[in-house]
Amino acid sequence: MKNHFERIDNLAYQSPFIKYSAMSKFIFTITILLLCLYFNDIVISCYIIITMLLINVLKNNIKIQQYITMLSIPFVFVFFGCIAIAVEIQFKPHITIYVTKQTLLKSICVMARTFGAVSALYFLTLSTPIYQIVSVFQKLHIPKILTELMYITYRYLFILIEVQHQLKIAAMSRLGYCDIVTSFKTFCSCIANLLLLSLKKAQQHYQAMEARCYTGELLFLQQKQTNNKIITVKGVLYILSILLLKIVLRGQAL
Amino acid sequence: MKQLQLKQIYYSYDGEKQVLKNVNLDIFEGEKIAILGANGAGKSTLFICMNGVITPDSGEILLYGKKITKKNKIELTKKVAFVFQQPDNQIIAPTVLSEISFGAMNLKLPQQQVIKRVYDAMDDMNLKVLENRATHTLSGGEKKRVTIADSIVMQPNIYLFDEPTTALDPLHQQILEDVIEKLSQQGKTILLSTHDVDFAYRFAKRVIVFYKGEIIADDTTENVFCNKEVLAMSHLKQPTLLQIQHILMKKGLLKQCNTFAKNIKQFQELI
Repeated sequence: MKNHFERIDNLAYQSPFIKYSAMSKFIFTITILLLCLYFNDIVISCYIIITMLLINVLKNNIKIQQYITMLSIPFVFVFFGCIAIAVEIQFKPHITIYVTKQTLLKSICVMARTFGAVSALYFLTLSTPIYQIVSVFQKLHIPKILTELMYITYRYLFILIEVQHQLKIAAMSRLGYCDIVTSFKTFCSCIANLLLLSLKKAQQHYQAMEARCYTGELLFLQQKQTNNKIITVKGVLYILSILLLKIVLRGQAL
Repeated sequence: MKQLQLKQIYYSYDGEKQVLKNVNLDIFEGEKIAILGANGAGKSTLFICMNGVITPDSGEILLYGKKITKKNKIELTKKVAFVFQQPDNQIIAPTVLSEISFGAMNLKLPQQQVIKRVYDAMDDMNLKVLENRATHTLSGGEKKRVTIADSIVMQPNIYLFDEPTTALDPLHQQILEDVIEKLSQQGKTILLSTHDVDFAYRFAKRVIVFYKGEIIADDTTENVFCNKEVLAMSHLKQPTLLQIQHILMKKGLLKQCNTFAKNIKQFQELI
């Protein structure tokens, strides 16, 4: 969990797209996400999945293995969800579990649609650090209390992950996880300790903010972002290609 | 010139146990002061009190002769910067740039001035290469430099360093000592709390010793470190260089004198 979360975060910071406007990336991703959901077409979903893989691997410098590993986590959830769609159960005259061609197709469609949407979101996650996404929310006039909470939660996540990691190592070094019962007790103890530590950390952070004239508003300078015309044009062309594909597919259907 | 005055300061966290008891201090411009004392002696509480984060239960704080009240305590925060012992307790922003800008932005300065101050502070602390790095990916030494830049950006007159060399490797300790010395040369007043008597001896001209919330010694570095009663009471050791000089004097290898070498260079000159 620690590694997975940190890996995604590190990749976002190392992304060649980091310097480009977070708002443009956000609009691009949301447009693709909405197109994928609205068209509900297996071909379009597959097109998005494949192109997003290519963009992330070739342009965003992410190793294909890494990308597939990252996608495997949502895949597990989607896969089990789709099994529930594909499988039908009949109770009368006797219990029958079966799969029809229709339900199977439906579940594959749902899976492709979900994966298309997830792939689009992965592009945003792997090219834009969380703080840039929060700055987009600020520009969209999301209430300040929420955006500030996002900033603090993001900072706290790493601190608490680190503290939890240290607590775990400290417990392991004293056989804290030697059997199931001990593991359970240690886990509960760690959680309680983590809660107390997080309260203490929160108090210390508040003091640190007050020591720098904090008056109730989190104000920061942000990294300069550029609007690259070529990249914007490429993004628009990509969206147009999805629309074009839909038109072609509709023509074939007629 | 008296910059900061503390008069009969008392403070307790729970209303029962006094963490600061009858603290009286006069801080003068450009002073280099080391605050010594055991854990729980009240050093960190004194600092957050001096910075305006907490208000004493009783007593007065005067900044340039002006009394600090709850209403104008922001003046104290602007002029007295506090560098926390643990950088992770201080850093709140996601990137180095945004972290350093936090204090300057709170001063409500024009954007251009904020940018200038931030980049100057980054220059001073050699942090430009880390400008866009996520704060959680920094090493301990880098985080420490960021927290000092956090304070520099506020352009205060007094710096409070809470155990600055704790958990730093020798290289980063040296870097930090150089930075503190540089700030001192710029005319800034430096107060630092430490358990490292050698560092305190090298750096400070005045030493204040705390014991259970009270000041038990406030004198020149040499006088405090030669006061065996104070050292024993607060479980402090004599700095190594001072011990060597005393041994050499006892054995007649060094002339009896009142001036002591504070660093190796001075020691070489002395012998």
